[in-house]
Amino acid sequence: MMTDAAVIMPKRSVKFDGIRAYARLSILITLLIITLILGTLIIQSGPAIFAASESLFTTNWKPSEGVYGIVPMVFGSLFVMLLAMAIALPIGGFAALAISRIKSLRAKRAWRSALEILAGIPSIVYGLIGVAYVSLWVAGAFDLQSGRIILSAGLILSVMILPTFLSLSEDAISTVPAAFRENAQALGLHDYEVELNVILPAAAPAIASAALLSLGRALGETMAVMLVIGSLDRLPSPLFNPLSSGQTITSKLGREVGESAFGSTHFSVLVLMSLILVALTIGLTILSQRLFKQGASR
Amino acid sequence: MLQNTHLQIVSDQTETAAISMKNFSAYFGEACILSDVSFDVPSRGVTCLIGPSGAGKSTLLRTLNRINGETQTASFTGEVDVLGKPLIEGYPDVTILRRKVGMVFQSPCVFPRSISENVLFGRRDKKLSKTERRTLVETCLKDAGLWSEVSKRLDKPALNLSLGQQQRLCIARALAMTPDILLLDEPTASVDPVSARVIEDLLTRLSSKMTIVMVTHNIAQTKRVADHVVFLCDGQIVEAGAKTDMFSRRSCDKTRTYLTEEFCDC
Repeated sequence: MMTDAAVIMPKRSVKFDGIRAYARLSILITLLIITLILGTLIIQSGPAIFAASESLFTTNWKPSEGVYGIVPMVFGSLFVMLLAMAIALPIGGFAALAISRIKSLRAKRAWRSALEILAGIPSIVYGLIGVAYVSLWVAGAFDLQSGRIILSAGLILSVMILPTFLSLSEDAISTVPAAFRENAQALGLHDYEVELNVILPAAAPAIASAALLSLGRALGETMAVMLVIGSLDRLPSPLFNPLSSGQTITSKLGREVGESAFGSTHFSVLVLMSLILVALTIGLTILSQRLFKQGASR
Repeated sequence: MLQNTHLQIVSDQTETAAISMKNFSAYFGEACILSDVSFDVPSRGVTCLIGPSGAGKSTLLRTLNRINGETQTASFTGEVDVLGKPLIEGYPDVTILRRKVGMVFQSPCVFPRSISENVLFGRRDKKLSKTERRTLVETCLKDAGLWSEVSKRLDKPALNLSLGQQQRLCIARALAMTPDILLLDEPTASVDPVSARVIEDLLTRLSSKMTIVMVTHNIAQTKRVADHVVFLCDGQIVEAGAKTDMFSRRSCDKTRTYLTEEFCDC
């Protein structure tokens, strides 16, 4: 005789079991890959901590003398990233507001397509534009001998992250309930007051999340930055001088990984820098997800 | 065929109309939502707009503070005067009109801020002192019948309030603008019956101070709060007049069937 539970519970088919097993296997493979990457980075960077611990947190980088100061690269990465965000955030934020105000669906779709195309352009193309135009323009504008400086890297990077940031921000603004706008308008607020006091604050957590995701991209960008930053393993002088040449973790890795012998201290220090990069990216992603959830719960 | 006469619901002809519509028609794209509507709303008192869904009640209400104008496909013809001035030419800056003509929507929508910040949200003028702001919050919350429930948690998030309380907060927020006219689009549709009665009492109290125009589907509520009733169907006014006349005389068949809640179709 059939029990009640048997009636309620659907009969599991072989196909269903197969799909479930495949899904579980996929999760396991993903976890395995992440563990392998992190494990390799941790194991390979171990020697650097023991062999170069004295020089690691200095500003000198002289592999021939066994001195591996990573501070200029870490600082360079953060500085270029912040510079790019300082340029891209206000432009992207207000552009997202403007696009969200477009009422014609066709025009909106055209904008979105343009952003997707921009986001899909390979970074080497941006790098070439940076070398051919941006660095020359920067050199001319600031009367410098070379335009391969931190500012050029920041400018190129800001253009590169703009489509992603703008697109995500526009999505965030579009998800603000229409009732918020209508209620604020009914209170006699001007359009700009509605945008600044209602729409932007309501979308702020999701916009911040978009900014952090873009930061992650900025942090990991290699080719374009490598071509325009000038590759100088020193801290800028004065420290926050964007007109100085510099070096980021990614540009350093791009230039030197091929030259260093596997298993050497030099190689190990480069792996340590990539571990720092991964840690920063993971941190930014977690923070971004938290902010997004916070926005969604509102 | 319905008569497109100018329906006067001003009980005393010497009284000034707060709102006056003449041959007003509203379109969304090709669709005609309101056709040749003419009526006056007297100053003070509660005027209820009733009628079946799709009759054009909300469109009519939303026209009065030009919220409809935000819709790209909306277009209008005819004359509308609000507080003695033409709706468009008389208020080149729409924000001035909206400060005089407050609006409360069907679903309560409080901003993710504190209770007091919500009340003061529309008062963006920095001329108010701290004491004046506090007094205004207290007065509006008292007027909205919410003060006793929230006086000890004014700095707490408004989102923690119940739906009924949120709707009264929306009314308090509209009152903080000291409007001459208050528009309400089914303000009790999404709240429980107890909160609905509190809101009805509040509207009755407020009606001595300002003109209230309310859309409702609730005939019993219309009987309780309305001073004047406008019955709309298929984008046209079927009948309009003082509540007592509308409910006692029932001159028109459609009105009679609707008011006895037997209404099915226009």
